[in-house]
Amino acid sequence: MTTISIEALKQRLALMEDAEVIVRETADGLRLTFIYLGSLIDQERLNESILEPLVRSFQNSVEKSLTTAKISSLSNLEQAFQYLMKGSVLIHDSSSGRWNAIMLPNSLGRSIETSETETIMFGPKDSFSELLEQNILLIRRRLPLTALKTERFSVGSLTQTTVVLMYIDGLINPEFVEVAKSKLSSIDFDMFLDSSHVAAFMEDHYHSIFPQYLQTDRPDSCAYALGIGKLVILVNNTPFALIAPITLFHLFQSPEDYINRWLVASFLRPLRYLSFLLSITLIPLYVALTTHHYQMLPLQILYVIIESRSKLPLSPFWEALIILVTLEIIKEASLRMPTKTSQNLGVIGGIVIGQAAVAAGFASKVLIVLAGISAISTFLVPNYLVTKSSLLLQFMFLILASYLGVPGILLGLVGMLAHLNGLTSLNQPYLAPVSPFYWRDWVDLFVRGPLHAMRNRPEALRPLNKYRMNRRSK
Amino acid sequence: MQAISLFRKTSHQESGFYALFLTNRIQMLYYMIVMPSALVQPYMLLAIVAMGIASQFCLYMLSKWFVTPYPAQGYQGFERLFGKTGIKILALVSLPLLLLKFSFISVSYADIMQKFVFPSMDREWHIVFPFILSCYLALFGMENMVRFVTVVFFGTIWIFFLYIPFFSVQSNSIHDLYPLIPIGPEPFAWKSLLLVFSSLSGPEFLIAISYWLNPQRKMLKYLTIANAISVGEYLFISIASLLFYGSKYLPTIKYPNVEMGRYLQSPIFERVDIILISAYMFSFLYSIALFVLMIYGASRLLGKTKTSTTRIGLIVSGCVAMAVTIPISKWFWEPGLEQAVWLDLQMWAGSATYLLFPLLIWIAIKRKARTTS
Repeated sequence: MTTISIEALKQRLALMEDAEVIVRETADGLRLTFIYLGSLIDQERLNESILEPLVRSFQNSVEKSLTTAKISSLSNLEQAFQYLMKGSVLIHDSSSGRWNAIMLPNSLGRSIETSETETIMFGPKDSFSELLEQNILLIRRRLPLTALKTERFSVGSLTQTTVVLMYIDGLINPEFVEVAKSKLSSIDFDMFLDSSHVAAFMEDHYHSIFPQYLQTDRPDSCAYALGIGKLVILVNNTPFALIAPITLFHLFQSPEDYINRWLVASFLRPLRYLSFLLSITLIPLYVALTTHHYQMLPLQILYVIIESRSKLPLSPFWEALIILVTLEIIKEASLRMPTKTSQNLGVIGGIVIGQAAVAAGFASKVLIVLAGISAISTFLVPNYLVTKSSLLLQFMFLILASYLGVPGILLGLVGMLAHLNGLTSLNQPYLAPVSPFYWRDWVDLFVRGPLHAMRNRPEALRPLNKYRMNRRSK
Repeated sequence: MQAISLFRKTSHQESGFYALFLTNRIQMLYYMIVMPSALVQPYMLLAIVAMGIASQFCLYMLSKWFVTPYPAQGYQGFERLFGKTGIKILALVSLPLLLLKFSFISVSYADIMQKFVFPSMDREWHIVFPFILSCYLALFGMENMVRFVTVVFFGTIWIFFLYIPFFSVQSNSIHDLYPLIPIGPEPFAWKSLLLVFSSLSGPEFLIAISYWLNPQRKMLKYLTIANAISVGEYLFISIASLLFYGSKYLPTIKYPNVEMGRYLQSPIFERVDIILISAYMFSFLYSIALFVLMIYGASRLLGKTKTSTTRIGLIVSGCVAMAVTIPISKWFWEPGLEQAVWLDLQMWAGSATYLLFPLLIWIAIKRKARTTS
């Protein structure tokens, strides 16, 4: 362990123009050296809460002069640098030779805004920001419990990102906490700039296209997840928290499900599953029918398709592939371009795809309609990562449909379900409560049952406290 | 990276539902494929009920196995009951039966697929493609396979409801369901009995996977429900086909169930049978994946059981099953021969295993109880 010295600190802080080393003398004649990084600390608080009281103090030590500040005593150089880089002011008392640190982090950041990725019409509007403490506050406000535990971890050899594991003690299955802790402790990588990086290292199956941790920037979603026996992982400098363990079905649930009337929510939820299915199979089905199974189409529809395809030089597969790739190029471009320009792109894209492609004889009108339905369907799934996954699935199904027709699509579906059945999130099955089968959890699965019927927490999560209602009030 | 263990067990969730779903889906496997020109007279509906009762007797014997402590012990449980040599003999007997079942289902399904969906494609390809996917399914291990049955059950049970419209066809006549009691001695009635009984066979293979089923005391209840659902489905589809075709025309059709799908109409699709046959693949794939795992398990019992399981081992087992199936399809599945030989063979083998395996287990349990007391 290297002992702390001003020279050693100055040497390491060389060529850092925001590093400050100042010396002040107190009224009692105590000589104090202050070392800090100007960009990381709150300068105003330093002047008002530290420098001014100390300079005017007649006490003979820093601790006695600053009775309200949280002062940490430092013992070695590495520890001093850790504090320094996290927004602390290092104070050296020349008379006693002691080194102290006071945390004064710069709280500069975004204010609490509305979520842009998970918008809802009704319900809480606040969302997480990049400030970790603020994010913890937003959850603690909703769950004012002493049982709500927060454990801190540091990941990334370069970024030293703070990760906070949150759970309700006495409710959550302790196995989840143990697994999460062991995964977080064993992470070995240099940079973690977003929670998705942490998720990538915690996932059980990182080759899969399906996310195994739910990313959300909504505190109400996190509070709900904690309340039913899941854990939440907050990562510093990112507004997206991770929720685990999750199942495939959680990716189709929206916070609005619990705000809408249960019958309305029960209608909308199956609609999301259906749209996901449509988004991955609609165009492949068109290719399968027009390539292999013309006989499956009723005569009136067959006339429309034959008329539409009669002058096309391309096979249905190539026709669909070109349209889908073009559509994806336009979607991707509209994401990267400035907002105002992207609106124009939408119009140009619509004209190019809708009219020019048909007029030029690259695509049939029927396919354009189906591509439109398919593209819109992807947006019904609340989770953005699933939307992106569905794109790859769509191409896979397209290839299967072009070679094997309808049985090919079914083969693909069985393969996808088999893959999903093998997935786990925090070692818990990804297809629960269907496989493994927990019939009591079906009240909030394909439909959203009335809240009164959700007396128990999900059985699949095996919570320590499984009742959501006071059992005497039943 | 976690070492692959195809036969590991991590979950101890007690649920009779897996046994229920498995029993029902396996029992429905054949009936859809081979239903049969043998079950064409209305009075044969009674054969279904009679064989349902006989099947219940087999399931009763099977349930006796589930209440003993042996299934929960896995291999050790079998070893305590039969001894090491006994297990090897059982594995040796089971292997050809499993291979026969595997081949028969594969070729039958491929035959339907070729006839109704893809006539231009060789039948062998219809065997190979599903086989590849079933190997993928099996690679997730027995525990995953067992719980996947829920997805399979809910993914295929809806097919049954598509037959409801056949009860409301205007040309239906109640007279097609008469006579319910046979008049005079009927030739080959025993064959239809045997066919129904063999169609209901399959649950005996639950013995091999009982370790992963986490059996509980009420297993008979779940097995009974499954059997009742299967018998109900048999009756339902048989009555639908009798009403739709009439008992005179029915014997002339090879796959009445599948053909009926052709008459279903929707505003978007015609030839709904193509979708039905494809959807039925779900059940079929699951079953062959389960049989591949069982074949691998049985071959390990004959060799070294202490070495860990490997993906290659499973794939090799699957390839062996393919090596039996492809030649059967290529050279020994001739028109006429399939009915005369393979269906008969499967009927006898299926009925024998369904009756003898639970009986054997029951006797072994009784014997063991007597020797230990």
